[in-house]
Amino acid sequence: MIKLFIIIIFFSSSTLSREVGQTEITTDEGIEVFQNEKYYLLKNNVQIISDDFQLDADLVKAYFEKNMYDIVKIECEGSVVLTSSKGVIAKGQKLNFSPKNEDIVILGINSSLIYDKLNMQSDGLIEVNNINGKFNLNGKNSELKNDSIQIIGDAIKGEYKTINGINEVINLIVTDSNIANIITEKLNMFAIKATYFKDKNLIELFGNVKVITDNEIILGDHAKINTLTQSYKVVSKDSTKVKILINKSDE
Amino acid sequence: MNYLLQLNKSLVLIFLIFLTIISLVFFFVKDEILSKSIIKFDTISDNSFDILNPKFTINNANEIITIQAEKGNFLDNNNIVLENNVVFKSNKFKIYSSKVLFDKKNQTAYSKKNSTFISEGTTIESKGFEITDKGNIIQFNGKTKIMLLK
Repeated sequence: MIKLFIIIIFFSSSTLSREVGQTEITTDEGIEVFQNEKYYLLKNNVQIISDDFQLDADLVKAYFEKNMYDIVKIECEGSVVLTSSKGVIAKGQKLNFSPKNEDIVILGINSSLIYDKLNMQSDGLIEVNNINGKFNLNGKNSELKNDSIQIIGDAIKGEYKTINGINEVINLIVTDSNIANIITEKLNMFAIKATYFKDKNLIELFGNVKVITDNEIILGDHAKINTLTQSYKVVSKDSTKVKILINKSDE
Repeated sequence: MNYLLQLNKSLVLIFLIFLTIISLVFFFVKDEILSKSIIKFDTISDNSFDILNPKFTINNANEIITIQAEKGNFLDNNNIVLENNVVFKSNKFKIYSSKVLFDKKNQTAYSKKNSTFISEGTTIESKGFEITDKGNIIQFNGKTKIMLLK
């Protein structure tokens, strides 16, 4: 019994264990510190655990300001998973993260960022600043969705805000070289470009507009959709061009 | 007539013994020559040492790293195995280890033993380390644990 007690005491005192306010980093193949360049490389099966986040990756390059603890930027590669205490889950092939600015950039195929009910996916780039709420998705298969809306396009730029504990998109610009797609509960909308402003409860569609509802398809050049009433107005440069296709079952 | 029977047997025996000795000497010398470039600092006996409390420095543009130990053994003119309470100290950090190979000429250091790095707000525990580029680059090897304090 005494021997067991001694063994427990020995192991508990000889290993470092994280306390509140500390950051613990473990690696399988060590760390290389470049003092003049002010960064260190963490190699193979890297795990960083702090009060604010947990990060797992194959390779991590951490830049510091003065001392090693003073990390200003982290660049990660290989099966990166970042989980923040605020509820952000970011995954990708490459991830750059600034702990102080709360700026996250995810690069590569199958990049994703989930923050509460906001879900971002892209095969190119996802950039989110958690302080000012600005985000940018760029590349193939870029998609943004929450409980009430799904947005698909090559480039999705916008801003979110936490309102009553829920992250809500407050403005948005979507573009796609082919066609962007916005899906709400009642409408399926297509256009080359789309904008959304929460304060105006307005979605605007520009170019090759198509609005699909349960029983009709409206084609035009420009559309305005009221997100509260789900009512919409589609216009065309040539007024004769607006086309309405009515579902046969409702005729 | 068999010419083999004409040979002096004792001469043949002496020749064979001589050949065996030469072979053995060659075998050992060859091994020594080949292993000269490989520093076998793990094989140094713990009971003998060349210098007591050795002290060296690594100098670079930004800092001076002093190296201290209880014992030192010269492997050659440049390579010294430092043992027992080996400490690397600069104004930025300290590294503790039990056994380190230090190269005076190239200003490098290498250890396979458990090492602890301590600097302001940072502790690193690793299975050895390597200092290169006059102390600018420090590599901690094997499974490594870093603790950063805010």
